[in-house]
Amino acid sequence: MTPTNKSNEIVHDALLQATELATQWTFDVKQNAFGWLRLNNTESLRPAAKALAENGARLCTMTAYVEERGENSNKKAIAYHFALANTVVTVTVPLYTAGCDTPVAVPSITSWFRNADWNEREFHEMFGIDIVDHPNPKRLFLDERLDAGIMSSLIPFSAMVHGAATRNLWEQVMAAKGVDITGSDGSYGLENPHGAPTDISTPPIEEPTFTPVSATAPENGN
Amino acid sequence: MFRFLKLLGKNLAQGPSTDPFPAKEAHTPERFRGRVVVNPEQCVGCRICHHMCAGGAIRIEDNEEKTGYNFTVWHNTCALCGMCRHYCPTKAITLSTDWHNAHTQEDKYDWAAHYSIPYLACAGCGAHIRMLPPQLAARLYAHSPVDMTDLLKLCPSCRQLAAARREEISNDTHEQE
Repeated sequence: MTPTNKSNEIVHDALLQATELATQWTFDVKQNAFGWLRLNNTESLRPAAKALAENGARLCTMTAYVEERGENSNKKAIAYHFALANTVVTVTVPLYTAGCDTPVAVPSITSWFRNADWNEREFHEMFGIDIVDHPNPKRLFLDERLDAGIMSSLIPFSAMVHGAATRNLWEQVMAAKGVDITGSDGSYGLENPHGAPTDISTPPIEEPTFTPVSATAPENGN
Repeated sequence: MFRFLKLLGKNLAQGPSTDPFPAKEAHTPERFRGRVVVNPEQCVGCRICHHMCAGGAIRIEDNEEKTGYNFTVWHNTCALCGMCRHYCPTKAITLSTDWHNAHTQEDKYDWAAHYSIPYLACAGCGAHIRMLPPQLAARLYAHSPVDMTDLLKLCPSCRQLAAARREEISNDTHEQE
């Protein structure tokens, strides 16, 4: 979709000229516009940031994230969220190249947006993202003796508390009861009835009988 | 000084404001969300509790003989949020007022409730089912004039056919009258 007002058009054209990429526009139910630009490489960030700064954009915040879920994935990216007069433009910069997940360095935009200073230092400190030409590349929190990218080496909190992470724990719980579930795929009968005939066109419904398959007394482990 | 002595006397007369736990059981509100309890008779194995459980505290899996399923609640990872109770369509899950969950580290894997829930054979086709709980059937067939009691022992497919047939017979009878 195309931008709907003059100021968005100006930014759209400026970004197109700077990066040779067209910004995508989405609209919510109240027709508020949101611009989305995904750069092909980190070098395109400088002209994009310059174009945005010259057109009065403010940097709201920056988000560093891993684009692909999975324990071994290292496809990092940074989303820069800019505010214009009446809209938000998000510029995403992937930090990986085809066939190589190792994060590449990203240029600093602090010279155009002073508040980028904090985020860029934080990204370097916590996630090991290298920032090129940062005017003040000092650590924010961590002691210099600690490695950069320390956050990436820890288990994400979301993964730690998610139910899927308790598989190993469940093996211990069921082992305490004497049940081995290490090879189990978690199959469950009611979703796939065992031996259920498919022909049910003439069921004997007048005098149904009630037959337990094999009654097992419910057991409460409390 | 007089005010202090008055307050002291009043407090002495009232006695302690706190419960003498553990010498005596502490007061627990009726709606307190304590340890999860499952009524195996009411469970139909729909698995919505497993789906809703934020802590991954519920495991439902066929037993080895495939004659039923094992329903396990591991209290150690249960957050007592009560979502399982809220979404259980048959009210098989309740949260007790039992909050005595202190246990030693070596007991953590034993801190679970295990229920063995048998399948029943559908009276129509023999498929393994759980019987439809009467209160759920009462809601399903609230507007039906026909007695549906024995339909509880049929699988959903057989029950649908049987219920339709009975409704048809009932309607024919009314028309003839």
